[in-house]
Amino acid sequence: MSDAIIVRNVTYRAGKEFAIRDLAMTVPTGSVYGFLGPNGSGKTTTLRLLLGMLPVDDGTISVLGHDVPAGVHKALAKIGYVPERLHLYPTLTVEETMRYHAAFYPDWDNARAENLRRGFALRAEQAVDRLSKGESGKLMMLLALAHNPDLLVLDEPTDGLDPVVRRDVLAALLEYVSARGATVLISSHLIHEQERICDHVGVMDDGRLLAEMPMAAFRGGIKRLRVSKAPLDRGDLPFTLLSRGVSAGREEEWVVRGWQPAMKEYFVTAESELREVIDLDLEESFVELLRSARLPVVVAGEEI
Amino acid sequence: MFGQVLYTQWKWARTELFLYVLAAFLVPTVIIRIGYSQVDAYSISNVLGVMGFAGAFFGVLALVCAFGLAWRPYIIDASLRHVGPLSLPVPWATFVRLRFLAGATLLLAPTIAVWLGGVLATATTVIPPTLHAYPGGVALRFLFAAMVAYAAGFLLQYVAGKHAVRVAIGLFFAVILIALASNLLGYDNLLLKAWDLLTTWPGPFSIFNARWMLIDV
Repeated sequence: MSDAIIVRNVTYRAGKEFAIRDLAMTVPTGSVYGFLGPNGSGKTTTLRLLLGMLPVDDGTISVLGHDVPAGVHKALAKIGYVPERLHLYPTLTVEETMRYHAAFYPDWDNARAENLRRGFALRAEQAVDRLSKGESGKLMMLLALAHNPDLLVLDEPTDGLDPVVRRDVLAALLEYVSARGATVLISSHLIHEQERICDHVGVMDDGRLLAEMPMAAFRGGIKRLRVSKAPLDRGDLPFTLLSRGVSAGREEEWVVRGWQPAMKEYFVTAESELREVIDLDLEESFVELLRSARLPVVVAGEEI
Repeated sequence: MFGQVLYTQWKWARTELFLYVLAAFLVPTVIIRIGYSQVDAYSISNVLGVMGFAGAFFGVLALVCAFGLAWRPYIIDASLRHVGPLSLPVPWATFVRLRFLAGATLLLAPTIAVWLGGVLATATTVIPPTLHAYPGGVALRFLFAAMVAYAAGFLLQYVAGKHAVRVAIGLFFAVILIALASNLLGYDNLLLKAWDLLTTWPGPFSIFNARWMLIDV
């Protein structure tokens, strides 16, 4: 099995305002896949579709080799899920919550759960509704890791946590992933965190997956170009033009995707001058990608 | 799995369950003590009158216990958007079955209290000749009635979901409207017929119409 998650042509409509449209994504087995997107872009809805919590209107989903929703329960036994919001019963204690989950997961590892509880400094007798936000986050991560999952689906797992707790949670996650080789699908809008831990990235906006690629390609492939005497010819660009605007005088700034150094030749043949190629960090790349998806590129008053 | 679901539902309901058990245990004794102090304990008709009054209480208590235990777990799951149950590696139908069975199991506690309270009340009371104590019979009726009401409440909650309260209120007003309409149209007994259909054998709620007599002939 080469891909842990395969989504093809999935459509889901939630009311009149929002829809997931023609979604196709692939999460390779063993990868740490960062799922980026602004709030309300459809990340959480997509994760719920993957876990069979919402019914797709059209398309197919396969998770760990099981079709969703038909075989989702077999898949869920091998999935550790951390939802966006606390989903645990408030009156149970930490220990009772662990026992409750242990009863449902055939591969629950009591020793691992207990080690994680101690490592996270969670008191067994503490009631869930008395836990701080950081402690709740740790408990949810504990529950996701304690049954030795092959796939971790994490929806904003560190959102709102202080830096110390965030470090603890991510350390536990990375330790597990490196020891077990598990696949991770992590949704977040904390781009710098994703940049550190992810090797694949998918960018979502307004219910559409705008891009999906290895992190290295994403980071290195989006550039800002400073171009003099910018060419008007629009049909033969060797890269994807994300945005184009006037910088100073006759100089233009282009943001392009799929850039390779050899593409400098294009500007020579177009009788223009490429003055500078600027690297963008992940956050800038992400912003440019979103901007280009929301605003069409306009050249000489015409959309392209 | 069942043990853990049962434990969580017990923990949510333990306070109200304690009150149900207390009521189920004490009320037979209290009713008999107060009732007997007002009537001649050797008069068969008087004793049967007191028992009939006590019987009505058991039916009401069965309803209250049943609906309380049927609705609470759904309300808690709904407040957490059902994410917990839906992310567990069991089919939804299996989880709902576990929820149902756990609630039904909890109904045994007030049932046992009804039986124990009945045994205690009848053992410490003068029973006129030709009459007999039936604490076991009343407890069984209580269990059946509570199960029927529980199943109806559970079904309503899990079918209507977050609209259950609105559906229940809608049903209530629908009954009133039917009563008014049938009265205006001259079909005075339409609602009564429907009521009879539901509450007489083999109607689903006929158990509530049974003889709930702790002491009977």
